[in-house]
Amino acid sequence: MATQAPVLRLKGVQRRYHDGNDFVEVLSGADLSLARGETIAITGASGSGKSTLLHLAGGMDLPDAGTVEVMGQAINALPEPERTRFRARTIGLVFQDYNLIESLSAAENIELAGWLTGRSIGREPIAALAAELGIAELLDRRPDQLSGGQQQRVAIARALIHEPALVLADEPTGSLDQASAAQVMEVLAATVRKRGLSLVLVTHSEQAAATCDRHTHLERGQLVED
Amino acid sequence: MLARLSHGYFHRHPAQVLLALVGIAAGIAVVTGVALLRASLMESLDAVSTELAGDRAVTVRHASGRLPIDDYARLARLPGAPDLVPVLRLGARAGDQRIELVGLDPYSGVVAFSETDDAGLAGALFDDDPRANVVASAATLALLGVAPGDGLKLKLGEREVEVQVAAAARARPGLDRRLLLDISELQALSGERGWLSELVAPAGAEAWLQQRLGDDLMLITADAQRAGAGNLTRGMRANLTAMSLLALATGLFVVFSVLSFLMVQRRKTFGLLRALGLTHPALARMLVGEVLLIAAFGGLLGLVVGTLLADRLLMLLARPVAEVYGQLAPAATDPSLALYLVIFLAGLVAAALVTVPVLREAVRIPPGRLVRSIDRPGWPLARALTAALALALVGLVWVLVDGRLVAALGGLFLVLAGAVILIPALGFGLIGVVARHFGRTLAGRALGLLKSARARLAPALSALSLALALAIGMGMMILGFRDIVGDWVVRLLQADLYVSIEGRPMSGEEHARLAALDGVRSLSSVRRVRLADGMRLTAYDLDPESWAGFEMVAGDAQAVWPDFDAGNGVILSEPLARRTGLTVGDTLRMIVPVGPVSLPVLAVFRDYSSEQGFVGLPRVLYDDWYGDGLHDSVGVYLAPGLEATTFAAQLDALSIGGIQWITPPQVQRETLAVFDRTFRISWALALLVGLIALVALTSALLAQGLERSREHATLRALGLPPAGLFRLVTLQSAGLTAVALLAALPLALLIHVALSLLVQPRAFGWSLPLGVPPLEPMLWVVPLALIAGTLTGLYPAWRIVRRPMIDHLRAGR
Repeated sequence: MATQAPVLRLKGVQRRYHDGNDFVEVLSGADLSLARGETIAITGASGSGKSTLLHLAGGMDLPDAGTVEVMGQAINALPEPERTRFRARTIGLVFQDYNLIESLSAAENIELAGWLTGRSIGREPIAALAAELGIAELLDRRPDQLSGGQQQRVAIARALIHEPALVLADEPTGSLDQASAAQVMEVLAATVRKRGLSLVLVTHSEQAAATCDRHTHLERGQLVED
Repeated sequence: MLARLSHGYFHRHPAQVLLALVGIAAGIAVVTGVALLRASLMESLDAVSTELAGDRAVTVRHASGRLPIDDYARLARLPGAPDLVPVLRLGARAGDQRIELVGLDPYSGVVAFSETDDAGLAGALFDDDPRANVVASAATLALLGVAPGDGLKLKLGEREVEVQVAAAARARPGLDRRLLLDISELQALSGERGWLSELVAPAGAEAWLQQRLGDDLMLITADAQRAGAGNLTRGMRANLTAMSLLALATGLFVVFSVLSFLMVQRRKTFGLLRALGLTHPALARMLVGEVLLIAAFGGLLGLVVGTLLADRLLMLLARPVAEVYGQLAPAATDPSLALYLVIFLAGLVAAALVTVPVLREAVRIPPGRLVRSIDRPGWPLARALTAALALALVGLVWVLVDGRLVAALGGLFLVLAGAVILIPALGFGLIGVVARHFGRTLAGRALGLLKSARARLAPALSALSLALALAIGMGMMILGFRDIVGDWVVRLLQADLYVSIEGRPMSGEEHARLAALDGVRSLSSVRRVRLADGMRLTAYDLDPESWAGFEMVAGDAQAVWPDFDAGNGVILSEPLARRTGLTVGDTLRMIVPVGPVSLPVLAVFRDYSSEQGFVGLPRVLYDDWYGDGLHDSVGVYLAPGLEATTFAAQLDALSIGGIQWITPPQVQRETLAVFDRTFRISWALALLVGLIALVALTSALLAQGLERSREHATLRALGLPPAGLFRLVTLQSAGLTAVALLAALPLALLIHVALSLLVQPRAFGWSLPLGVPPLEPMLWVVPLALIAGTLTGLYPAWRIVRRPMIDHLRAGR
């Protein structure tokens, strides 16, 4: 029986940045493997490279060395347009600052992710997912008419609507108060698990990290599993 | 500290600063170019008398236009006679350049030419060379491609002569295209012995001359001379000024667009500064200082570019000014510090005023507010419509109660200002409808996203609409006018061919010999003279067949001719009738060679040959007053079946040197060629306005791109490929251009109607019958604008796609 490929695999990933005339190595051979339906929290100090890791996992940035595989596909080897299309189909993204399009309603923002995969998503699946996330009554509102917690729920719906295999969440509760943060994490974890998706959660919050199956710490450019 | 803040910000955003500089510089450049052109034209028109006897020089002319030299001798010999400079002026050609030969007495108190090198004018003009010596400004010599010591071949009427260039005069550009030579040499070269064009005297001589001039000599004061010269090109100059102001307004849109973006980008900083205790006045001072600094640099750049532009415009204008107005344009413009200062300060004030709304918004930012973008919804449609209608109403009332040109242009500007307010409300409403129609396609998404950038894009949309409307509307007017002029020429020229003699009128004896040729059925003729006060007379000796060529705009076309032929009155060209306010039944008073006369106006006829207009005079009166039997042009009606070319072969048999003929179709072609050259400058200015509008669009798209960088990065992160984002931004610029075009079309029709029915009659004196507007301008402006507008979006799209995605995903942190 063939072993199912991990949803995400990082092998010896290195990434460094220019800092004036010097280089700063943020990731120095990070390794990670995430199975289907598994959730993992990545914590670390500010500037330790958590977001960089997430950007590499999503194909939004490229490693200087090493491989990033999503669903068995080495995405760092793909040309930019194909990598983008692959990300649209396979990955859902949740940002700290929600990054909703201001001119679109909540429903349109959610629908956007489906449109970018080339699929037409009707009102019903959007309404069903919104009900699950507790924002069913807010679909016609624009982002500036929503609270931070509500906006992040819309962003989660946008990340899930096209049923990706992998969800990457970058400090999804970083801009929220404690109560809202807890609610958002609860909703995110529940909906991801219900759909059997894999989740990489980058966070400072131990409480948020505790909702995941695994917890890994980024230290001196390496991932250290608890 | 605040200055350091500003400096640091601008240092990090050079592209935005550059766009603002380009916007203000382009507007100021066009205004400067046109202002210098205007000043040069005005100076050139009364340059000779000013150069000869100072700024307030007075001129004496004979009522017939030619002053006998005996009159000069009589005045000069009287006790206490002032310095009188006798002047003979004759048109000539040097290669393809029109010039004027100015003959004068170098010993008779000439003021300006003491500046010539070495021994002054007299020293320069007299030497051992048998050829006549000429002196000209350095710019004129450069224009003609000669230097002191060179020979220069000239065509003076039918004669070809060669003169020697003696020296370059350090004269003002007002003397450009003029060659100065000794008056007796010019009389000998031209055969005008015993005749002068005018006497020029210093300002102090006015009272002395008033008491001693006879009935047939007229004194023209400096003010009257200047006013007359100004009137000649008043309409053309007013139109140029209006165009340049429109260019400035379009440039200010760019400034507004860029500066408002600079404010928005720093709302976070401003909010923080306010929270830290920066007062409103201090923040306002900082922002006003920034605006003025940018406007000052842009203004200086505009002055430099405008000065270069002025010489280019002058080259476009020189030939039409000579052909249409019979005047010489200078070879180069003559910038003055005062003019530069006025334009520079006006630019600063305009830039400061246009940013007042932005400044008000910036100083109202509440302390500590950290939002990055504004989403001013703009005026709702009802409010914009009310404001637009109010402005249009004020403009309309102004046009109706005030018959001057300034009211027509001002009224049109007010209506256009109303349109500028209305266009964003209508345009973005339309974008919303179209976006919904396209739904989930890329075009639908692109247009949908545009809606949220209304505040940013509204000025660019208005500027582009205005520029496109101007190009199309002006094109409609010009092409419609061209058709009208073409038809008018065909109607006017009823004879089979027209005969004239190059460089001189036809004598009565020559006219009789022409009439006696085989195949001549009848002749019509015209003779043009100018009275001392500048009034132009055209004496008509018309065959009844020619009457059909005149379209009367007032008076009975059938009844007028018997009265006219009997010498019972005159007919007026429409421009003259408008300028003088005379109409049928009124009395025209003139001082003619036989003294003052009063004649009834029998009719007013349509004419597009000159904006100053002229009096149509019965030949019988001309013969009474002048008695010289001369004709300038003779229309020949041929026997049935005789071809013009066949008949023309007989003209050689008359043995009249310089005799030439032309058929009506040839006249029409030449007239339309002159027409096209005259309007070339209008096209050039419209093109400049269009280019500035495209800068406005680029600036707005770049600003929008920067402001929306996080949205674009999000779309990229969610899966929109770079090519998709590129197409999205390009579609947005194409969509904006299409909406601008839609808004421009009705506006273009309005401009066409206003130019045809209001501006043309008030500026030039002629009316244009309004028919179906020509569609050609629309047919080439629409695709051209769509292509240019789409191309304009390429650079912002390229910039947006190249930005690193992850930096902008975190822009809010």
